[in-house]
Amino acid sequence: MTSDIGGAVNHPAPHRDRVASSALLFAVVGAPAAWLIQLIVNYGLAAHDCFPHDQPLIGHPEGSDSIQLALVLLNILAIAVAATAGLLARRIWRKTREEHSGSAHHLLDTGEGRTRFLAMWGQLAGIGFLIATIFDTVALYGVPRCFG
Amino acid sequence: MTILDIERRPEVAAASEASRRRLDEIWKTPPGIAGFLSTVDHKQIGIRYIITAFAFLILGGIEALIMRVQLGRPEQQLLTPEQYDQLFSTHGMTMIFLYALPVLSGFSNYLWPLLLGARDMAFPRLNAFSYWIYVAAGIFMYAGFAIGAGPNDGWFNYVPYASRQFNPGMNMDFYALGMIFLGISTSAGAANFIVTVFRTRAPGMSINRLPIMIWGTLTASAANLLVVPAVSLAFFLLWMDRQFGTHFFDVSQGGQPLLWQHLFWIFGHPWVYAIVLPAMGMVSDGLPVFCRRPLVGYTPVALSTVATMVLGFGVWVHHMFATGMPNLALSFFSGASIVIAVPSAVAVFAWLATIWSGRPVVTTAFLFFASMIVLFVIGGVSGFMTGSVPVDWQLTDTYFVVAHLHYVLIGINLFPVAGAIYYWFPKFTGRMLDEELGRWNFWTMFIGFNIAFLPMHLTGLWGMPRRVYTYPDGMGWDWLNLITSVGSFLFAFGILLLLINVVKSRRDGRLAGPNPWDASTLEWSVPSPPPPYNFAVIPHIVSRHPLWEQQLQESDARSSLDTGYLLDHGRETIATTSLDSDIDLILKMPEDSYAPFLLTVAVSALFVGLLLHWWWLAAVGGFATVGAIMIWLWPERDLGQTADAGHG
Repeated sequence: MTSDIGGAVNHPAPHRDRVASSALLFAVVGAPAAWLIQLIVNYGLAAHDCFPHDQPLIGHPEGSDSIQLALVLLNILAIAVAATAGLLARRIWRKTREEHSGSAHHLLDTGEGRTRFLAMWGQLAGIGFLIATIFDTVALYGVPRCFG
Repeated sequence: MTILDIERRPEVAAASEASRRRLDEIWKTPPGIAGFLSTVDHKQIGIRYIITAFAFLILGGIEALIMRVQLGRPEQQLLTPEQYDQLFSTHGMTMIFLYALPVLSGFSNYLWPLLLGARDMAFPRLNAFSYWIYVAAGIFMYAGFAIGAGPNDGWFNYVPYASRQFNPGMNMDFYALGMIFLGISTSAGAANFIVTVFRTRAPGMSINRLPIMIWGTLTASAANLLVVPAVSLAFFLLWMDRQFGTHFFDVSQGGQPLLWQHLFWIFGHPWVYAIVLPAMGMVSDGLPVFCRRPLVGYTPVALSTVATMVLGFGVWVHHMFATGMPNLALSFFSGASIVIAVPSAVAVFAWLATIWSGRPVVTTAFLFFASMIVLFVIGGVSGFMTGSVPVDWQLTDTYFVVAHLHYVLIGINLFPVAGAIYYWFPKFTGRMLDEELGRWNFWTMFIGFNIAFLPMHLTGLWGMPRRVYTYPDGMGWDWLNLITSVGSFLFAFGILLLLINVVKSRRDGRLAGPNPWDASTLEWSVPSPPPPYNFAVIPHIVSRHPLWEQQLQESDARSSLDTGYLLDHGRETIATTSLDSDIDLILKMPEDSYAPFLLTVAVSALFVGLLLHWWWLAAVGGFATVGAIMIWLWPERDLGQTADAGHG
């Protein structure tokens, strides 16, 4: 059903057809999802390494190399996903930035233009969660893994 | 009606007196006890939520005042240790579970359809069910307290203290089953909010035009759907350990006490955000009205609301820093707990910029909203501090943490709620609250709160542990505790002034009219109080500020508020698409029904049976539950749910 009142001129997302929904979805949720998954898997692996059964491993402050490698690979993967999502959001932004009058600054204030609004969200989320993931990666090298 | 009735092209018309009368007949709830028990009107349910939540706030407040008398001086013997344990645990349970979220649910229930341009929530009967279950669960949990078997192990109820070996009374059974009971209400309400926002918005209200309060409640609801099962499971496993000798948390039999903490805090920390994000949304929507300008930075503020909740799923272990987990594992959660300050700061700076660049009109509502920023920063900074593992090791289980959580929960929940009452009371009742009494109300609460809780940081830093029923003389905590006790009574007096103002103004307050604040959102386009059908025609929206389009001149397009879809073939509202709010279908909405109330009675019988081991009652309650669900879901021709409906 189409609206009898608003009409196409007032549609909130006139550029919606320029972007695949799946691409927009990945651009918005890719970085947060990557961060959350790496956080939880990081936690599980790091904790298991030092506390595999009922008792903590004493005299084992640095954990095992294989777990360290798995953690590093996981974090690199999460960084790659977050960066890809952010870059994709940037690309979508370029395609849709003219969806509504006004610049990026104007969009930040008013939010007008639904497709470009979500593209802006994807860019901000991409940068923010990429930084958060990098901090977790730095912790792999800066924090003693087990006890002490 | 044909089955295509939901796909018919709805009539577009201007609202007329005749159509308003017709809609009033269709949507109104009958008066008296029948209407009271059967109504599904979101406005009535919303007001009931708010009143019930405030009743629990008063109970929790009285408990707090008794504790403050006990702690006002050293070696006080007003309460026994067991009485004190039950008081602080019941106080926590009351404020966190029975006041903080339900009061926000009340505002959201009342306001959502009005903010979204709809005639009711997506599932009106589920809405009524959510409220009745909340009341029943609250009574259930308080029944234990009334017979001396309230929770006595803190609101987070750690094992092994909560196990039968150390806690043989019924205290934990009331609490465990009560929390599972309450979880039904929370989950039902959350699902309803999510479907409502993605399905019943006015045409044109794309997701980038949602009020921030909608974003706040939406993210809180999504979080609740994900995390309430964790705590329900935790309490169920505890109940099994206590009743049937399972060993989920019994370390001597291979169980894991830490499992309790994980399950509880996977729920508990997102819950904290669930009880502040909608309130932050109220500030984001209310504050700009008094600054006479739109919110600065709508796009990042909306994103920060969602991002806070996403990050909030990754911070639960910061409640467990002192449990002996490996360093690296802790560091991930420490990082997340510190990073979460970023989206919070986005909101704070947006509010400050809105005040700075606006023309503030200093009303009582403005004072409450603006003061929340100060309290939020104080509570946020102390939270930031405890996000650091070494600092947390020093502060954990001290009064510093108590001060922090009260700045968060009172500062970011109760103060915005008080502001929201001043802001939306005219819409609820058609009358204004008294502004002069409001000033007294605000300053008494603000000063009292800070006298009570600011020194408490020092009490904690000087080493006073939380949850002790008294303390010895000469520890240096005497005068700090006395100041806190005096402040808490002043704060309580401030809340009393709020209640007096509500009662007085409800009767003889100044008449408000539809839009006394010259606000910009849809709820102010309808009469105060709104008619049962909300909108005589479904509005069509072309901006985020439909009532400010003339002043803002953001574009030439104008929202259509007086001409729109009439939808008067019974109870109907429009269904729209999730992203852009293009019209999709006509939703046939259910009539008032006793089914939600009857289902609640049945579920209550089930829980009472489980509590008392009256298995026959549990069985009766179980069968009655199934029966009530069948009554509820029995296909109705008027809703297009029967096979012959398409041929009628």
